[in-house]
Amino acid sequence: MCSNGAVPEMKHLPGASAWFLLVAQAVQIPSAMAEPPASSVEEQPNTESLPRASASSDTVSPPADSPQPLPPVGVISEQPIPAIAPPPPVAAEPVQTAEAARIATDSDLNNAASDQASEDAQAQPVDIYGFADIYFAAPFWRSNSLYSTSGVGSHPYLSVGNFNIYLSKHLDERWHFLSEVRFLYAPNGSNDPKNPGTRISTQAGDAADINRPLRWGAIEIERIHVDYQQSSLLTLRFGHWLTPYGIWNIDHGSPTVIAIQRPYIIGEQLFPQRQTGIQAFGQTFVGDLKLGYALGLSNGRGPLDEQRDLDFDKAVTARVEVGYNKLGDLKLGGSYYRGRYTDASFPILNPSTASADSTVLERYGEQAFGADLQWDYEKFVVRSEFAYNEREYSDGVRRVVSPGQVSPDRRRYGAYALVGYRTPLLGVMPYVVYQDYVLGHDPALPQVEHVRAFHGGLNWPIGAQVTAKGEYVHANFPGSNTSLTKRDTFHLVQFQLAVAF
Amino acid sequence: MSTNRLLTRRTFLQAEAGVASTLILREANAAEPLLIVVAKTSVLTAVSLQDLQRLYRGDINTLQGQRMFPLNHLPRSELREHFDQRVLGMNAEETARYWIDRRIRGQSGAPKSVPARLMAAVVAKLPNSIGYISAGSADAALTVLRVNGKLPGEPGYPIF
Repeated sequence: MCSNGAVPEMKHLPGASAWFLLVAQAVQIPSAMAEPPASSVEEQPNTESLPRASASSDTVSPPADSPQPLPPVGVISEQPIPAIAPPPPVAAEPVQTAEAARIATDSDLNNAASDQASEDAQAQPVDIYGFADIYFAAPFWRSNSLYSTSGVGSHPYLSVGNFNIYLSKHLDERWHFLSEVRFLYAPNGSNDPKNPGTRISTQAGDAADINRPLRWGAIEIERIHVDYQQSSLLTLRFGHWLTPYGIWNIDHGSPTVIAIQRPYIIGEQLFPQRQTGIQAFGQTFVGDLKLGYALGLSNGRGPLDEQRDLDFDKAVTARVEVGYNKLGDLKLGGSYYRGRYTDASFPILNPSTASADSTVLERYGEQAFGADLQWDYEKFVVRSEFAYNEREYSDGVRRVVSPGQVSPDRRRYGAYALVGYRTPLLGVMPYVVYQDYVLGHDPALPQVEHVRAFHGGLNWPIGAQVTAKGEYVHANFPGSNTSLTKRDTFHLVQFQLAVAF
Repeated sequence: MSTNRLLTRRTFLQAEAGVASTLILREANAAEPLLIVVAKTSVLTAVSLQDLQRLYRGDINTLQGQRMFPLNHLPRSELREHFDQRVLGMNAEETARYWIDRRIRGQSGAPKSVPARLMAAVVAKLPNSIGYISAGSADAALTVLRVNGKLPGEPGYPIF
C-alpha cells in the first residue's frame, strides 16, 4: 500500500487484494456511505443482476448517492474537487468498508488485475440467486375428461411451482461455474407407475420431532457445468447443460418467460431438455448482424443419461442463430439434434463366458429439427417456435406399452406463437398464445393424436423482481377419432406469482 | 431520463470516516454529454456507440482485441439512468429485468457498479476498464473516447 496517498497501479498488486487496497485508498469512506439500495437488483458483486446471499451484502447500508442531504437543486457549486485523501493505515483485516468488500468481490475485475486471480478467487463468495413461483389454477373439464386422468383433478388448487436455486462463481478470468437446482415436493403424490391408480407417499417419521409425520421431497439438478471461455467466439462447456435450442428452454424461469405454462412442444421434449456432455458455443458480430452457434456432443437421451450412456453413439446438437437489431431486437434460430436412446439391463457377470452380460431393453434413434423467432419491436413482443421429432425403433427392442403391444415409430411436431404488447398502464402486457401439437400415434395415449390450444393472458411486472400473470386456456383435440376426445374441451383459468431473488 | 429534463449531477467525495463530506452539486442542461473514459494507458481512443451498447449489454467483452471491464454507476443514480436510457435504450426497471433474465438463462450478469465519486479513480487505475463520467469530471489520468468519431462537444456526439 502506498503511503503517499497515491492509488497504486493494479498491475503491481494481486487480484482481490489489489482491488481491496485500491478501493480502500480511493474511497476512504465509512460503510454507511457505501452500499447500494437494498432493493437494487444490480448492486451485488460479481455479475450483479440479482441480490445475493453473501457476507458482503449482508452489511447493507444506506445508498451512497441518494440519502444524503442535498443543497437546493440548481445550486451550482464551484468548489474544487479535493484530491483523494491519503490512504488509511494498513488494516489487519481486509478493508472493512462494505463498499470495498462489495466491489472487491468482482472476480472479473480482480482477475484482470492480477495473475494470482485463481488463488484470490477462492476467497470470493459464491453467487447465490434463484426464482420461485406460486400457482393457482381453476380447471373446468368434465369428470370423464382425459385431463382428469392427468392427476391434476378438476378442483381449483394452489401449488408451489418452481423453486430454483443457482450457484454461480467465476473461478478465474476464463473459467466459470454454474449450477441450478430445483427443489420439489415430488415424488409425493405422484401416480405410482408400479401400481397404477395409487399415489406415491413420501411420508416418514421425523426423528427430530418424536417421529411425527413429515413428507420429504426431492431435488432435480437442472444443470451443472463449468465453462471455459477462450474468446467470445469459443466457450467450452462441460457438464449437464440445457439443450441450446429455441427460446423457452433457455429462458425457462417463470420470471423470464411471458406465459405461464410451457408450450406442448417444449414440455413434451421434442428436443431433450438437457444433456450431459461437452458443448462449444460462441458469437460474433458482422455489421448489424449478431451470429451465434452452439455444438454439443453428449450421452443423448437415456434412462440415466446424466451419468451413463448405454450405447456407443453420442448425440449431436447443433444450433445457429442470427440477430438483427435495426428492427427492434430480432433473432432467428435453427436447431438440430440427433441421438440414440438405449435402455439395457444392469450388467451381470456371466461366469461361463467371463463377461458382463447386459440385455438391451429398448433402443431407438431419433432426430429433431427446430426453428424459432424472437422479436421485440418497441412495445411488441413475438415469440414463436417450431419443432419436429422423429423416432425410429430398432426391431425387437421397442418399448413395451402393454403385454403384446409395443410403441411404433413416431413423428411428433408442433409450433406455438406468442404475441404481446407492453402497455404503458403499469407495464401490463396482454398476450395471446396459439399452439398446435401433433403427437402421432402413441399406444400409451391412443385417444389423442393432436392437441390445439389458445391462451389469452396478462403479464404484469410488479417491479423488477416480481411478476404476476393471469391466463385463460382453451384446448381441444381436433380430428379426434373417438367420441370421448371429440367433445373433450378443457378450459383453465390460472394465475402465477413469480419472483426472482 | 428525458433529454429535455435538467440533469442534476451529484458527486460525493468523502474523507475520513464520520467526517463531513464535500458535496458538489451542479446543474447542467440536457445537452451536457456523458464522457466515455478509459485509463490514459489504454490504447483505445475511440469506440462506436453500437460497440458500447454491446459491451454494456454483455454481448461482447472485448474492444479492439482487448478484454474490457465495463463499469457502471450505481443503479438509480442519475448518471446511470441517463446512460442506460441513452446507450442501452432501457429505463431503470427494464435494465434490472434485462439482467435478471440473463442470469436466469445462465448468461453473464451486469457490469460492476462503482459509486460516482470512485469512477474516475477506478478507471484510471484498473487496466482495460471503461466507464462514463459527466463533463467536468475528467482528469489527466483519463482518456476521453471518441464515440462514433466524435468527441464530447462536437456536433453529432451521440451520448447526451
